[in-house]
Amino acid sequence: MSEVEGLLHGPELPVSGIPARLWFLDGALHVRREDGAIEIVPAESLSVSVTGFNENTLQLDWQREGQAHAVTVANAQAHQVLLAHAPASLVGHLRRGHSTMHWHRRKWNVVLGVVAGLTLLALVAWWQSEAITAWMAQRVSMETEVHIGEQALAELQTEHEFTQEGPGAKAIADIGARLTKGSRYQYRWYVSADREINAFALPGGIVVVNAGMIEATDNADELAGVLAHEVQHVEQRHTLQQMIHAAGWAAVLAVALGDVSAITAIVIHQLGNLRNSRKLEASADVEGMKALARAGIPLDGMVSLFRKLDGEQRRRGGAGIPLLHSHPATADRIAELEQLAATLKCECQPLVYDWKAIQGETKKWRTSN
Amino acid sequence: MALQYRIEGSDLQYVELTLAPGETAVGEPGAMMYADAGVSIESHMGDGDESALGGRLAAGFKRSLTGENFFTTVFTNTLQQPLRVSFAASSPGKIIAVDLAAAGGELICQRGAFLGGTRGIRVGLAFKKRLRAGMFGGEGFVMQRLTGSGTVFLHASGTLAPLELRAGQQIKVDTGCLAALQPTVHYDVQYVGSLKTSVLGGEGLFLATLKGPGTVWLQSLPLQRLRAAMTGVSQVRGFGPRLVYFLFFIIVVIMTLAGKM
Repeated sequence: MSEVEGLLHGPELPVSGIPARLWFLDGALHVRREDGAIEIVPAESLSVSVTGFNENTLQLDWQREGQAHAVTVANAQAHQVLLAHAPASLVGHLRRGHSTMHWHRRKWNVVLGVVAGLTLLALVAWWQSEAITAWMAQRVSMETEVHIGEQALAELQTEHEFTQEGPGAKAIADIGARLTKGSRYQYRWYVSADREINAFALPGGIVVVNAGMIEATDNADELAGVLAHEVQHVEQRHTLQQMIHAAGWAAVLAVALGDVSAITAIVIHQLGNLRNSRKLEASADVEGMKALARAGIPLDGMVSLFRKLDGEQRRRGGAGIPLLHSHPATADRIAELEQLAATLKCECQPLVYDWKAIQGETKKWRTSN
Repeated sequence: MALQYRIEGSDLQYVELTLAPGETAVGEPGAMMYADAGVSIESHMGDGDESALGGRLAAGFKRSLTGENFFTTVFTNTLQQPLRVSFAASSPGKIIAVDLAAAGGELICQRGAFLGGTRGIRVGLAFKKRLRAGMFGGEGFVMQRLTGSGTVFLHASGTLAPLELRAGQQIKVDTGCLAALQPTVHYDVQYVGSLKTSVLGGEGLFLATLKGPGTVWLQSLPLQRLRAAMTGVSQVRGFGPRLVYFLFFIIVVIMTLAGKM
C-alpha cells in the first residue's frame, strides 16, 4: 500500500491541520480528507521542506488560488513509502529533506558514541593497566633499557659500594651465566656492600646481590634460586614495567619515543618504592624454577631459601624483609614451588663451591666498605 | 467528561478545579493552594499512574530532568459530591489550560512549565537536537514533552500569547520568550543580522525562529529577565554578547584616546 497518513493544512482549516491520507499517482500528489474529498496536486507545483520541533517532519507545500496549502508527514516509515513512490522530479528534494533528519540522529550518535568509547577506553585501561604497561615495556628499545639500567646503577652506587671482584661475585657471575645461556641480554653481576637480605634486578641485565643475601644462604643452590628469580625480572622486563607504571602515563610516551633523559631521572628517583605485583613475582618464581631445571641446578635451593626467608620474616616481626614485601603469602608460595619442583624433570647436580669461604670473604669485604 | 476549572487572578493567578465524585487530578508538589476536606492528597513517584517501580523511577527521573519534581501529588475526590482543589502559580505570570487531545496529543513546553492537570498526562523529555538552537535558543537542550489526552495547566512568567502559525509562516522571537509549542512547529535560531544590531539592539546575538504549522505560546517576560529587573543586575545575556560588548568597549576607548571619536 503506497498510502500514508499525514496532516493537511490550509487557510480554512484548523492551524494544527486535519488528518488526511496521501499517495503519489501518475506524477501527482493525491490527498484525501476524512470526508472523502480528494485533492490532486501535480508534482511540478510541490515544494519540499523539513519542519517539526526536531526537523523530523516532511512538508509538501503548494499554492491554490493564491493560498498556501501543505501536508506534513511525521512518521519515518511513511517517509520511506513516499520516497519509494514519488515521481522522479521530487525524489531528489525528498531525499535531501530526509537526509537532514538523519543528520541530527547521526550527529548525536557520534557524540554519544565518542563519549561512550572514551569511557570504555578509560575503564579498559584501568582494568588492564598491567597488560598495557607490559606491552609498553616490550616496546622500549634494548638501548634505552640498558641506558635506564646504567643510570639506576649509578644512583644506587652512591649509597653502597658495588663490586664485580672477589669470590662471591665470581661465583654469582658463574652461576648466572648458566642460568642466562642464550639470553638476548648481556648480563652484569654485582655484589653490594649492603647487609640487608636482598637482591634486585635493574633493566638491561644488571643483577645486584646484597652481601647480606650471600651471608644468609647456606649453599650455592640457594643463591642460584635467588638469581633465577631475579633474572626473570630482567627477561620479562618486570622492573621496566613497574617503572613505567610509577612514572605515569605521560612518561610512557616519552620512553616509547626514546626521549629518556628527563624520564630516567624521575623513574630512578622512585626506584626505592618500586614493587613488583604479586602476579609478576609468581611469574618470576615459575619461570625462574624452569630456568634452574634447564641449567641443571637443583630446584630445592629456591624452596629452602624461601622457607628460610619466611622464618627470618617471622623472627623480625612487623618490619620484615624487603624482598618479601610484595609477596607476603609465603606459605602458599612455598607450597606452589614445591609442587612445581615435583613436576619438573631435572638431571641436577648440586653446585660445588666452598660456600663458607665465599661467605667469609664477602663479609670481610662488606665490613671494610 | 472534561475537567471543570476556573482560572482566577490577573497577573498572580491560581486555577480552581472542580472534581466530580471519584475524579482525580495531578499537581506539582507545592503548587496546591487549597482543597476541600473530602479531597485525598497522595504523593506518587513519577507521573502518578505507573504501576511498576522501574517505570515510576524512570518517569520520576525524566520529570526531574525537565525542571519538575521527582514526585507528583494526586488529588482524588472521595465523596459523592463535587469538590474543589486549586493550584497556584509560583511567579507573576499566566496560567493557561490546554486540551491535549485537541492539540494533537502532544505539547512541548519550557522547563518547569507544567503545573498540573488530568491524571494520565505524562511529562517526558523533549531533547533539542539542533546544537545552535539548544545553545542559543534560550530554552536549553531539554524541554518538557507533555503527552496524553486530558487538560494540562501550564504556567510561565509574564503574559502568555498564543500565536497560530500557518504552514510555512515564520516569526522571529527573542530568545527565552518561547513558553510552549506544538511539535509540528519548527524551532531554530538565526544570527540577529549585523554586529551593530547585536551590540546595540539589546536582543543578543541570536533570535529564535518559529515556523508553522502549529500554535506557539510566547511569554512576555521570561523569569530571568524579571529577576534581573527586580535585582537591578545588568540584563546582558550569555557570554557571547558580553564578549562583543567588551570588544566594542575596548575599540571605543582606543579611538577616544586616539582623538577620533
